[in-house]
Amino acid sequence: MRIPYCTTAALIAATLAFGGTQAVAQDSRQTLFDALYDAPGDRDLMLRYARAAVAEGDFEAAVATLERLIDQEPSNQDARLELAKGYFALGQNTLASYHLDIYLQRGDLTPSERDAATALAREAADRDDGFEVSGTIEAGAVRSSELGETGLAYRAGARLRWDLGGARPHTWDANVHIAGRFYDSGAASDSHRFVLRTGPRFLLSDQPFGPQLQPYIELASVDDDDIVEQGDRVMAGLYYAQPLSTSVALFADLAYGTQNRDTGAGDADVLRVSLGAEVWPSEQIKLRFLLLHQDENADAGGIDRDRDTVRLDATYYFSSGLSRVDRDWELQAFVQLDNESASGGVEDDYRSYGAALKAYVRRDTFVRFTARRVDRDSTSFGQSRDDTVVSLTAGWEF
Amino acid sequence: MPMLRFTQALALILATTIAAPAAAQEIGKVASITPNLTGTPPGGSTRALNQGAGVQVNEVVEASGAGRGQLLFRDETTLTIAPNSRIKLDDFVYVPGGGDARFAITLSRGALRMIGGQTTQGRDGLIVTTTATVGIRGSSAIVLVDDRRTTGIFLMGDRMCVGGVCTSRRGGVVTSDGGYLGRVSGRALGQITARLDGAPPSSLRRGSPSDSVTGVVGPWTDPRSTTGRRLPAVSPDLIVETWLDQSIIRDPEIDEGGCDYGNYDECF
Repeated sequence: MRIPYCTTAALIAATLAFGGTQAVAQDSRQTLFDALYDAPGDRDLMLRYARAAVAEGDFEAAVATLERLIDQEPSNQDARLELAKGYFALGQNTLASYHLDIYLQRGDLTPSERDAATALAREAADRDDGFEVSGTIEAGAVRSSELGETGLAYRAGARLRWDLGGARPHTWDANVHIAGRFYDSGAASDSHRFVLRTGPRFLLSDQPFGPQLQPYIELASVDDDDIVEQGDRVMAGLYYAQPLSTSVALFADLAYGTQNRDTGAGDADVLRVSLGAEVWPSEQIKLRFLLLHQDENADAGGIDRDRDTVRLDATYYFSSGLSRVDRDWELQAFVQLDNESASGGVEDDYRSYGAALKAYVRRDTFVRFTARRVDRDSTSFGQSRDDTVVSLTAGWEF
Repeated sequence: MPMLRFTQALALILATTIAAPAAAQEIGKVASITPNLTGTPPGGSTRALNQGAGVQVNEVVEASGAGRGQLLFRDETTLTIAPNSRIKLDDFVYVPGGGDARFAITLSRGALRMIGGQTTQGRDGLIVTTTATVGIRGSSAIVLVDDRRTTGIFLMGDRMCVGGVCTSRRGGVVTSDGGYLGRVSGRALGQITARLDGAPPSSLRRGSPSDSVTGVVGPWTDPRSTTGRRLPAVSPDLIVETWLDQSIIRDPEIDEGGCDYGNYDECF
């Protein structure tokens, strides 16, 4: 099962290659702007410059350029749609709606153009009304090499966001997520997980994309045959996020609570700490690094456990020639190393890696093929083994 | 006779310098115009501005009741000037690649929309009116003035302050006499946009064929800052998914070693 490793290596190599081209792109953009400044009425140059700005994530420069273009050519429906999309990308949904309304009411549109613009207008209106709901439902077949069985895999998540009002856009966020697998062999092979996290999200500076802090309450439940893993958990935590630049954002999370486990394992106090970063070397590639530590101290006689995890996720967004929709497909890969140590000197090392292709068949509907490998090296007799999990799922985003 | 040549050359330079005042530095250009704007450079006479005409520091730009236009500055700032408006370009300093940068104008009448460029990244661009000073940082905003008040509508970016009252809420409205008022309605912003840009045409037509500018921006796209910053998309699913994969190989029924996880201790 070497393909996931190769895929991860390829993604990382591509990332470095993209990073090396950033300086070249900057020169190109400055050259384009100089030309545009010399000929401010050149509409072809305007489009080229706006495209170059977007390639660097600078949607504001693109919006400024498109505003000037529309001022010269108010009836240009393509430019007006691009302007609306630029405002939408910047979160200025009211102006996005304004231009989309004009585009929809007065444009000469094909049915698919009308559908796409209507969907965008609906989303802009939803985001503008102070209460936002989004989520995903996904399910399909999963095959485990270790079990030699095929089962059902599912995951679903929803995010609710309330605008708390005021001069700073503080919000109240609630996230709920479930995931799990059923196998033919019954409950002993199954795993089901649920988590709900909710709390206010505060802006710590006067910048909407500055540091943010979210105190939260987390309720979680795991239905798993592992008596240490299984149980209900209540935690209070603090989540901190800090975008550092166009391409780097950091996050940290600290949570403490209690877990009611199965009899035998003993209830435990749980401390969880995570640190991570999201890095966008280019508009097409996202990397996510995660360090995670969880310390579980059981009541007397119970099983203490420590977990340390290091994980790297890479996602490559690309336009597929096979696609019939205007949404990028996603090629995902990950590598994860875990160390678990429990009472009695038992220590397990996990090495996981995998890859997935998420292909959109409609703008909100996708098919995902996933292949993952988990190897476990255990100090416990007979517990060192591995598993390859392959799944094919279909999902809907709302 | 080298000394004579030097003296002659010096005299020529001095004469040229005195006879022709140093050419004023152009800080921006008229990018579009409908149907006319006028400009009055410092010490100069009022002239009609055409598309592509340069503007300089301390120049006064005016739009009549039927006129409006857009200025493009060297730092990429775009200023849209509404009909019946008068602005003075007080200060502009910009060195590509870094160094000191300043942007300040006076809006004595009318309305404008500013989509900020490099000079307002990390520092306030200033719009001075008769009733307040508006600071716009990393941002785009609309500013309107009348005899009694200054109104700022924050569009996007870091923040906008009017007379010391600031907002970072997109669509947030701050006035010089009422402070923060809340979010602008879609209808009001539409009317103000039509004032700045003119009424939208009754019908649209396709532009020249070209690739998309904004790529695959769609309903699924998360917003980002004016400088391209994103918030990390981290949620509880990260924790759930991270440890889901390992669970499968804890299954006791596939344990050839006879470990029964119902009696956990036996596994050790």
